[in-house]
Amino acid sequence: MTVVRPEIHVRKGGEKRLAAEAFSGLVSDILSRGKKVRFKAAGGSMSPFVKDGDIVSISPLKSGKPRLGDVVGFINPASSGLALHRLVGETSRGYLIRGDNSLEPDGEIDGRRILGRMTSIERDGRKMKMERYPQRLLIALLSRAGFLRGVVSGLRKVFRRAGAK
Amino acid sequence: MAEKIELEWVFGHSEEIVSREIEGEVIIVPLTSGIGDLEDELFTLNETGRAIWLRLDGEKKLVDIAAELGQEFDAPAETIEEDVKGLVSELLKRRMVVRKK
Repeated sequence: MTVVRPEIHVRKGGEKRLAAEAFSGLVSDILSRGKKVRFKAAGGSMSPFVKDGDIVSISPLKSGKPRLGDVVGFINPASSGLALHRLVGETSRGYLIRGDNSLEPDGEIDGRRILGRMTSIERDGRKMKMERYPQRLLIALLSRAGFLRGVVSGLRKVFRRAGAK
Repeated sequence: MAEKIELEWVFGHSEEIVSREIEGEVIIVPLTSGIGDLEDELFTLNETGRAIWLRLDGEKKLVDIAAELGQEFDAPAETIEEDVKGLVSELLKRRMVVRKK
């Protein structure tokens, strides 16, 4: 048997596609060390606040509890993968979480599955402004009631029409 | 200049990285400036590198790691010892391991 010399390889993070469970494990490891984690978001469930391809940062929950309106990174029980959705309520059994642009909520999520809160978004190389707490609260209430999807879609139509003029 | 590594020394994984074995591959993420940046550089090890990395537990001397590898890989003891020292030197340069003893 030929012995291959030990080597260390450098890979650009974005080039390395990890399986959902492996990726969430890595994110969880980093956050549990009290460090921030930065990665590319995929999917449109949080559009327009977080778009597919945005670079987001998640910070550990220092105060222990996420707040209503926070966009949280959590392990989705349905897929075992990491999801980034908004906290829209709390019950005795857990947190109510929903993607701003999702048809259905994620259900009641055990607090132990929440890894951290989103603290920054970068789009096209620029840092985006995060919503302030009162705005986040309003968005959470609209999202919980299922109105946000309609509001966003209505606003999109208005902007598209204005852009066409 | 790279530090000369002695086989009697003991090394462990640094606090400045997070590593995880994923589908038989070791992935190392540096925690630079308090951030685990998955969009920046990630590091992976080949099979031989992985075998060494998993044994760098802060307890075993490099000479003992080389002896264990000698039973796993068909190569002269001196070659394995040099390879172990070579990888540890590279890991040390990248601050992925720290000397424990």
